[in-house]
Amino acid sequence: MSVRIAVVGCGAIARAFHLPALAAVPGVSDHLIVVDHDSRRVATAQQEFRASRAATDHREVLHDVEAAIVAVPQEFHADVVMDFLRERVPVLCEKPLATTLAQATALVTAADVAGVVLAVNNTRRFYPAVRAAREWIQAGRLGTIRRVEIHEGTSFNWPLTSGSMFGRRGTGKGVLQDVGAHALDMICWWLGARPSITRYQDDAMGGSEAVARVEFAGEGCTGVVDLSWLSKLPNTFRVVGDEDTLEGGILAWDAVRLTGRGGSRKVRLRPEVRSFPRVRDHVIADFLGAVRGERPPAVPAREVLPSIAMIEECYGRRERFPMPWFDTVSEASSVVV
Amino acid sequence: MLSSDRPILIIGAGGFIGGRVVEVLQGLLGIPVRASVRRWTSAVRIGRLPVDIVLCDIADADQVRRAMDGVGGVVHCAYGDPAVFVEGTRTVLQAALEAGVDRVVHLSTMEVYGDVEGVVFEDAPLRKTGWSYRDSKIDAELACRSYMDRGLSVSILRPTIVYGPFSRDWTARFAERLVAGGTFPGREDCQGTCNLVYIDDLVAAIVLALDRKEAAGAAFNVNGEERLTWWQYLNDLSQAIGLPPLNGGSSFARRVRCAAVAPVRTTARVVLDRFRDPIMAVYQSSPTAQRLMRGVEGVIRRTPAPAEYRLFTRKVFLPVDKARALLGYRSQFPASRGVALSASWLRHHGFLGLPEAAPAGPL
Repeated sequence: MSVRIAVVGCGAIARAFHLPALAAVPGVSDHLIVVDHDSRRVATAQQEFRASRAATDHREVLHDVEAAIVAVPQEFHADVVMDFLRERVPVLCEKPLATTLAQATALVTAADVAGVVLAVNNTRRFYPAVRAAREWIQAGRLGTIRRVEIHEGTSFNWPLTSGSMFGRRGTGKGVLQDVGAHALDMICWWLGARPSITRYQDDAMGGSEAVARVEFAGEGCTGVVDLSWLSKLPNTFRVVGDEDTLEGGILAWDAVRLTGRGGSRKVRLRPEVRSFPRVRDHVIADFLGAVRGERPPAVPAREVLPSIAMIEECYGRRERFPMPWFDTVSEASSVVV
Repeated sequence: MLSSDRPILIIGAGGFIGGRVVEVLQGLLGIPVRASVRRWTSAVRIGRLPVDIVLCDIADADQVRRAMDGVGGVVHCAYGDPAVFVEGTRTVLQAALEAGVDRVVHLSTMEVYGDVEGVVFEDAPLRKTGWSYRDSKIDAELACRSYMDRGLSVSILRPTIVYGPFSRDWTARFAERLVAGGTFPGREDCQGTCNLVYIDDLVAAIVLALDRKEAAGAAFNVNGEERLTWWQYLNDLSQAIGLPPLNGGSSFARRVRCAAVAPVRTTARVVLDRFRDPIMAVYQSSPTAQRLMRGVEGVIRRTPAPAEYRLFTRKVFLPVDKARALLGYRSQFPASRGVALSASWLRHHGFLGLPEAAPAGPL
């Protein structure tokens, strides 16, 4: 079945994720519309992914599409998504859905009023180890959850086409709103609840943070999330229940480790997706299935509201990390006094 | 000369040195900067500050001219493809001349002196050896000289082994190898002089070179003032990150291991250079390929490279008498302090295991 779909924003995530997946779907690739305010960028995307049409303003295509994928910079998500919802167009929005809880709630309400699908690309939920953790926790196989830890970081290497996240002209919101949108969503999804923030530290100094630590508590459970754009962290999670502990790689395809009274053992996973290209195909198939009314999306927008609330709470109480290597008083200071 | 009227343009602000120049000038000294990066990906570190960041590839004269508009001084820390770097440096110098910039500080390297030994002052000849990095840095210095003759105020700095937070080559990689239980050349193969300079000492020299009129038209060694051996540095680093002193075991066995891994190292580099995209596609789609490639990478990283033997045995020292006399440069970071700060950074950034909160007090 054909679907006329627009991809709004042809930056790094669209080019690496959405457009290659859509271009491979029969019935969709022939009706693909690409939109970007940068005319050169959108022309390149149109040519590379053989889109049927290109536009430089999403408002030009509101009436011409049956679905939209919104992949513009985060600070524009709310406005662009709202424009499509008002025209009753189903939307898959890149994470985070919005940069404030108020905006995100308004989008969820608008989707309900319009009666259309609003899904969010919180891709971690499609990764096998993350799904396995959710199933085990929800089934009570670890006992009551006491502790959750996530350590996710890598040297930032997205081929960004804009600097909207950085420096004086940036949003002042960095790795927490980017990678943290995944990690905090995992926690809320796993626990089925939104814990409270007990402490939040990052390294922003008037710009956008690149390293962050979130400490939280709730439902008898405490936890920590370490996030980094500046160095490689183990990219692992650990969920401690009062019966067993589950540990794994966030992006692991094949196995997790279970430790408890019966010792420690590797548990093999048999996932539907076993590679990054398959994840993106799966996300697109999930959204198209929801658009066609076959099933609800895997990540409905309403489900990400708790993690957006956590992010907002973090920024509301941010403390700067102690960084003695940054605050050295150099002899240089005497030069300009 | 330094003032807050016109910003200082930092070219190569996404790198280890340029990043710290931005942090010190704007973050600690309150001097406005314009930070130029070649790709937005490189802006993460400096993006933590409210800095004016612009895209600027030194191979693109229009971008360079735009970045140069209205600046009072330039710090040129960019490096990249040697074939592009020299011409790019000329582009920077020409744009600075046209823009009426007060001072350009050009970051060169101790490597311009060639593989010499002994005490090397700034008047030593520059020696090309066929190594593209070294030769291109010499050509860039010659370009600076030609622009000095045309009236541009340029100061050349020749830093030695610059280490500290965000140093991949001399801090993070060594620490990762130590943590992974990797080996270094044996004690007798690490008796060369390390010429260690902490990043903030280099940045202080850059600030002085921007500011002092005596810096114009001159080149300066920038070094720490201690004569440590490589063995001492590696030992200090090992202990600062909570590991035991280096094992002084058989140097011969280490040389054999280095020789055995050398062909693997060379082959991996050549294959990756030529087939990066298909290799990364296989890496992303196959867990088995990921394990294999990580295994090979781990062996390479844990084993001394042949080039390390040449560097770690070299007995050369670069005094900073000229910088002291003309600029008032003094090293403020003895290795004991620089290594402690580095260890604190390594710990915080998860190089030594899970990230830890840094100590609140001064080091």
